[in-house]
Amino acid sequence: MFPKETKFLIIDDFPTVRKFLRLNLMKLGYNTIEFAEDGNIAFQKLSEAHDATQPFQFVISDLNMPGLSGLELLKKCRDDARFRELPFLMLTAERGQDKVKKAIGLKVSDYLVKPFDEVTLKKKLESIYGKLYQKSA
Amino acid sequence: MTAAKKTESRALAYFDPILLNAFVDGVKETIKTWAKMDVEVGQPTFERPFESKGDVAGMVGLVFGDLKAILTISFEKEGLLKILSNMFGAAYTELNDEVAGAAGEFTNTIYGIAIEKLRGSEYDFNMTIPNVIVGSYKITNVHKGAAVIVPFTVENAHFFIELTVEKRSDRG
Repeated sequence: MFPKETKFLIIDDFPTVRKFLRLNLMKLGYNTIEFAEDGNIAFQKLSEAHDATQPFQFVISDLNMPGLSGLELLKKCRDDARFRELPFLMLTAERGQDKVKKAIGLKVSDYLVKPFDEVTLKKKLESIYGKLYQKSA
Repeated sequence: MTAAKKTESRALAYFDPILLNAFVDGVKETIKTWAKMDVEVGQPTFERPFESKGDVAGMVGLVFGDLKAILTISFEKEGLLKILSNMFGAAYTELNDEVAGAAGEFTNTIYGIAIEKLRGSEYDFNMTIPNVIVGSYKITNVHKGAAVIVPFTVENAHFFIELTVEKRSDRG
């Protein structure tokens, strides 16, 4: 499982979802959590943190957002050598839709369907960690 | 049969239980998963014209085939505050932008569950572009179609599915 010091960036245009994710991450023992309201702000935060050598180590992003969407942010990250391998969990209310398939094509780490709870979130983190561990082993 | 009864009968025919139950299931799953609360589902009623029941609403426009619909999830203030208080384990006492935004997010999530349940049925929402409109205002006469109202109760507070469906050929 990801270490408790893992630095998370949560991106969603709805504060309720951002807060709910933070609450559940904190229940899982994670306390280094920052927010962004859309993909543009998120990419700026990712870049600044990387340049300051305090990079984010995990992104959880909503799929549909005004401004730069989650899908566009994912593409931007995967096209950038700095964030190509960054664990990226996509949050969506749309199950099995074309956009989710596109996210998979863009090498999203996994996706989390709303509504979700702490148990589902934990399973997704474990699954992503497992895939990374297998990849690097 | 009177003209009004004929209109009601024709309108109710659009409210296939498969369609309505998809949204009812969406409400139950969303509130259960996020707020750990069981909701009681009341008897659906029919209204034409209708006036939104709650204080805050999330709204999604839907188009499928010949039918045009508006899904409104309308919350009485107390109902929404109780759900959020349970969700976050902290007391929510006032309507504000965050609380209103939650109504929109709940609507979006309920919509997502419903379209998945309806996938492969005659109600295919693939061409739909959802829009969530959130606000603390009265919604009246937003739609010329019939409305079916499904009441929900959670700890003595209320919220509602308000689904209006209009057949395009019935317009005008």
